[in-house]
This record gives sequence, C-alpha cells and structure tokens, in this order.
Amino acid sequence: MSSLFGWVIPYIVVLLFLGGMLLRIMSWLKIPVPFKLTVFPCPKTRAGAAADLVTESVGFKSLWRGGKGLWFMSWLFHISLAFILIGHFFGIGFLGQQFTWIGATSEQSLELSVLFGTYAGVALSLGLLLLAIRRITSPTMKFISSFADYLVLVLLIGIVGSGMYMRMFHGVTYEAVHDYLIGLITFHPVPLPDNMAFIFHFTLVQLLLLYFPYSKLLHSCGIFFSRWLIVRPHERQVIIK
Amino acid sequence: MSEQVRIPYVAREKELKDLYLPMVAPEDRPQTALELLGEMLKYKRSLKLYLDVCTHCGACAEQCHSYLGTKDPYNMPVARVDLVRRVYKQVFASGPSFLRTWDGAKAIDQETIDLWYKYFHQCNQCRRCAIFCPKGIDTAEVTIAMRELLAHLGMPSRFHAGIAKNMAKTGNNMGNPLPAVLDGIEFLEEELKEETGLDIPIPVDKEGAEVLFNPSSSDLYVNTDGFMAVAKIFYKAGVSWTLSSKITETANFGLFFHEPSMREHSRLLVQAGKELGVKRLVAGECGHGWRTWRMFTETINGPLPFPVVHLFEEVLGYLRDGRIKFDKSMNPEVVTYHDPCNYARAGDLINQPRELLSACVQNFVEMTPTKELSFCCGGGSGILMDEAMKIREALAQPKAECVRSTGAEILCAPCAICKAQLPDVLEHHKVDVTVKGLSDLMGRALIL
Repeated sequence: MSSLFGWVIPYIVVLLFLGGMLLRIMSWLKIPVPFKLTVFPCPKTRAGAAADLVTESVGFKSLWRGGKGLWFMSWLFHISLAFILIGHFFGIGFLGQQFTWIGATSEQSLELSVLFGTYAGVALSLGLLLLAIRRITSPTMKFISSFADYLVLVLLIGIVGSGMYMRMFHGVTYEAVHDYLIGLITFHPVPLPDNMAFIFHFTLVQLLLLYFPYSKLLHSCGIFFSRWLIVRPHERQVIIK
Repeated sequence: MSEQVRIPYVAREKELKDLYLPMVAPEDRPQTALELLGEMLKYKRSLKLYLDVCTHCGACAEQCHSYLGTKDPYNMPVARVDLVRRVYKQVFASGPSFLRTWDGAKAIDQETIDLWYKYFHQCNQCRRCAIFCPKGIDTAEVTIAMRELLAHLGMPSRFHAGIAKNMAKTGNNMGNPLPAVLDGIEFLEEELKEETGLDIPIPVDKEGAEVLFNPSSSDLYVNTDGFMAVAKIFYKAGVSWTLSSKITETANFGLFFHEPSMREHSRLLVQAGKELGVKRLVAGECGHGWRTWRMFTETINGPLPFPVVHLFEEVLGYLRDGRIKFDKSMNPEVVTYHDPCNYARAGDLINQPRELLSACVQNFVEMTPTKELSFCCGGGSGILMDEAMKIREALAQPKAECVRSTGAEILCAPCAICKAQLPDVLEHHKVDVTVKGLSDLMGRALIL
C-alpha cells in the first residue's frame, strides 16, 4: 500500500500534470490570431513586451491600477508562494545549508532557512485567508464564484495549513523528505517519511497537480499567452511622407 | 422570449436577407449556436484563452462602466463572459465532466441565448477591462465573437443590420443615395463660400489627388462644421484631396457584429483609393472605423499600396511644418477631451489630439480618468438605438460624472458614435456642456 502511494502514484501524477499542461498550451498555440489585438499604449519592441510580462507577473501592474486591496492580497499570496516554492527547492535540496554559500555557518544557515520559510509561510497564509474571506463575504464575488473557485481555495488552505503545521509543531526533518524525493527522482525507491502531516500535505499537492490543467490554475501559464495578444509590439504599415 | 420585447430590437427577415444571414427557428438555435461557437474556437485564439484563464478575481467588475452604470451583475465583464464560459465548459473544455461541472458548466438552452442577446448588447466593446485584468482578458473580443454568432443565428440587432445594409447599398451608413450625397456636398461648398468668402472646393472622385479623405457620413449631414473644417484645412495646407462617390463612410459597423460586412467595407475603400490613384487614405473622426484601419487592415486587405493615416496625424503634420496656423482666441471656452475608446486603447491616438487641442484652444482641462483609462461614452459598438435609450443613459452614467467634474463648457469628443451618443445622454444626466468634434474646434481656430 505504502509503495503504491509513495512510489507509483507520484510518477503517474507528474506525468498527467506535465502531459495535461503541454496539451493545454498546444491547444492554444494551434489556433490562429487573425487580428492585431494590441491595447495601447503598448511596448514598441519585443524586449519591451517581455518587460511588460515581467512587471505584470512579478509586480501585478494591472491590479495595481485598480483597487489596491485586491492587489495587496493577490500580490502577497503569489509572491510568498513563489518564495516558498523556491524555498522548498533549496531547503529540501540542500538540507537548509544554502546560506553557507554566502558565509553563514551550518547552524546559522539552517536557522535562516527555517526563519525565512516561516515568515513566507505566514505571509502566504495571510494572503490566502484574505483572498478567501474576500470571496466569501462580498456579494459580487459570490455572484461570480463557482464551486471550483472555492475548491481551489480549500485545497490551498489544506496544503498551506499542513505545511505550517509541520513547520511549527510536528516537523519532518529536511533529511527525511530529501531522501524520499531524491529516491523518486533517481528511481531508487525509499519509503515515505512516516509523518501524517507530511503525507496529508504531499497528497493534497498531488491532487492539486492533477486538477491543475483543467482548472483556473491554468492562468499561471495562460497569462503569458493572453497578455502577449495585447502587448506584442505592433509594426504599423510604413507611412510615406 | 418573444422577438418583439427584446431590447435592442432584433433584425427582421428582410434585413437578414440583405446581409445573406439565415433565419433560425428558436428551437434550433441552441444546437446551431454550439456549432458556431465550436467553429469560432478554432480560429480565434483570444476566445479560447479568455475562456480558459479567467480566475474570477473580480478586478474587472468595478472598472466596467456598464456594470457601474446599470448595477446589473451580469454586466460585470467576468459575469458577461461567464455566460459563454458555462457553455464552453459544458461542451468544449478538456477534462473529465465532473471537473467541468465544478467550473459552472451548464447546458445551452434558449434562455442562454436570450441572455447572450441582452448582455452582449450592453457591452460597448470599449476594452477598459483589458487594462485592469491581470491576464489581459479583453471582453470586447468575446462580445465581437458573440455578436457575430448571434448574427448567424439570425439575431443581429435591427439597427446594426440596417446600417450594414445601408452601407452595402449606398456606400454610407445613413443610406443616402449618391445624388443626395452630391447635393449635400454642393450645399456645403456654398456654405463655405458664404462663411469665408473663398472658393473652397470639396472635390469628389478627383483622379490623382494626393489624399482620399473618408469621413463619417454623419459629418456630411449632422456635424457639418467639422467636415467643412477639414475642407478648410486641406485648402489652407494646399493639399489636393478628394472624396470618393463610391464610399463616404469610415464608420465600419461590420466590426461590431459581422465580419463579412467589415471586410467588404474595407475592400471597397481600398479599391476606391486604388482607382483614384491617391497617395494616402485619410480617415475621418470615427473611433472604431479607425481601429479597423489601424489594426485590421493588414489581415483584411493585405499590404496596401498606400498608407492609411488618421486625420489628426495628417493635420498635425501640417501644423508642425507650419503649413497651417491656429488662433487660439477663437476658442476661448473651457474645453475638455473625451478619449474615444477606439482611439486611445485600441487605436494609438492619445497624444496627437492633445497636441492639436493645445494649439487651437485657450483653456484645456484634462478629465479624470483620462487617456487609456477613460470611460466609454456608453454608445460604443453602435449601441445607439432609440429603443435602447434607457440602457444608453445608464451606460453613460460614469462618463457623465467625469465630464461634470471638469466643469468644461465644451466637450471635445472626436468620434461619430460619441457625438451621436453624448449630447442626448448628457442632457439626461443634466450635464451642461456642448459636444463638438476636434475638427470643429480646429476649423474655428484656423487662420485662413
């Protein structure tokens, strides 16, 4: 049973996730764009258009133009999520020793890793809760929300909650997770860490990945394609004077 | 729903015939609509992307003048597009059906089509939501697609279908036959003579002219001051120009609901330009006509033998070269500028009109919000039907407040649709202001 959950299913999930995303992206790319849909003022060059995609995906420029409340919640959530994903890679990948590269001692590095992880986790929880409260309490948001909108929030709250629980109360060590994941990547089976919080966290993440290509979470990739339609530089017909 | 109570009115059989559009029996509409939507999803990437990537974040809601003005929740851009999204999720989206149900999937029925008709005629295709949507979702694209779909269900609005028919038959939206057009032009030449004492010509079909000017036909009859101003400016700048008897219309209503009409309109004008051998086409004051020229020409007409420029770009060139001069004191009133959506957001005309205004009026004040953030006048995408007056008034409410707070005496709104919509609705909202085109103001200030 545990080899099924720990050793077989994760591969299936990753394959379904990557395959699903690839198919979705291909389904967009194969459709033509008959007309120029640029919204002005627009970048003049490709580099400018790329810069727009960066400011949009890092700074949430369009949301900033509107209500600052939504901008704050959304930005806080996404930025801390990005930090946490990066943190997972380094913290688990290098066992919390990543800060020794910039001169910290081994203990200091582990402490810093834990500290940053905790802060980012708190920020992520705050952003997520604010977004959830906004969706539940506002009548206009209620009008435009479907079950899937709430479901994604519940999944994320479960993932973030179990993550924070492990962080604060009942942790697994970096080593245990490290060994397990490296085992998965190198195809050398290692049993799942024996920790209910971890198993809960890990299972919810896999559910989210399964749901990802068929949900609104597609916006994480889709934003670059949909924004490209309105920001790509537009060559005008040459004007002969 | 009975066809008679729809606002705006639905086209009748004779208008459909003129546009070669089919009549579809109400009970057949849901199935036909699915077939049409399926086809559109194959050639409009924007449509599929927008239906896939919306997160229901609601950032667009408070930015849409239609929702602000009507307070109808279906007029939030996200809710409007959801009317299509729910059908998309039911039939076309990928993934297991239970996941699509969670996304609000719903089978199409006649009520869905009723809702489409109603709410896609309360979107002005102004593209303001695209500025505020983090994913850049442009609801105008969806509205254009859905109006096209409705047209092929035999349900374009009577007003739009009538205008497209006029255009096809007479070369102008007003439906005036050529003798009437020529009469009107002769009359305007006499007016010019009376006003200035000069022989300022309005040439028609002059071969080898440098410029083919294509006005909105409404400028020939309703906003004649603006049109005469253009004649004066060409005269003063010493540019040889001409109108075409085949087409005196830059307002391309096909863009709003019927791509074949849009293409035919463009083709006709390009052909007229080629036959007359002009060096360039100059488009008159019309927002969406300009969008079609500026953005869609390449797709519709392929590379042109001559460039298409806007009147403002053309006149700005004269002004910068010193070929014409303005006397600001002729426009002493406080003037504010309304950015037509299809100039600012969709047509890259933001600073050119401002440079012209600052040269020809004494007191210019900016509106808030302005430029690409400007609200639509509420008439955009041809929502100018008399029977829709209540809706038009509601759609114009945010703009009316913006105009009121400037305290301006003259509202410069250089777009044929804005000029048709704003005087009526501003009066309803009790904003005391005179609506004028930019050409009118330039004509008053021009030193002949």
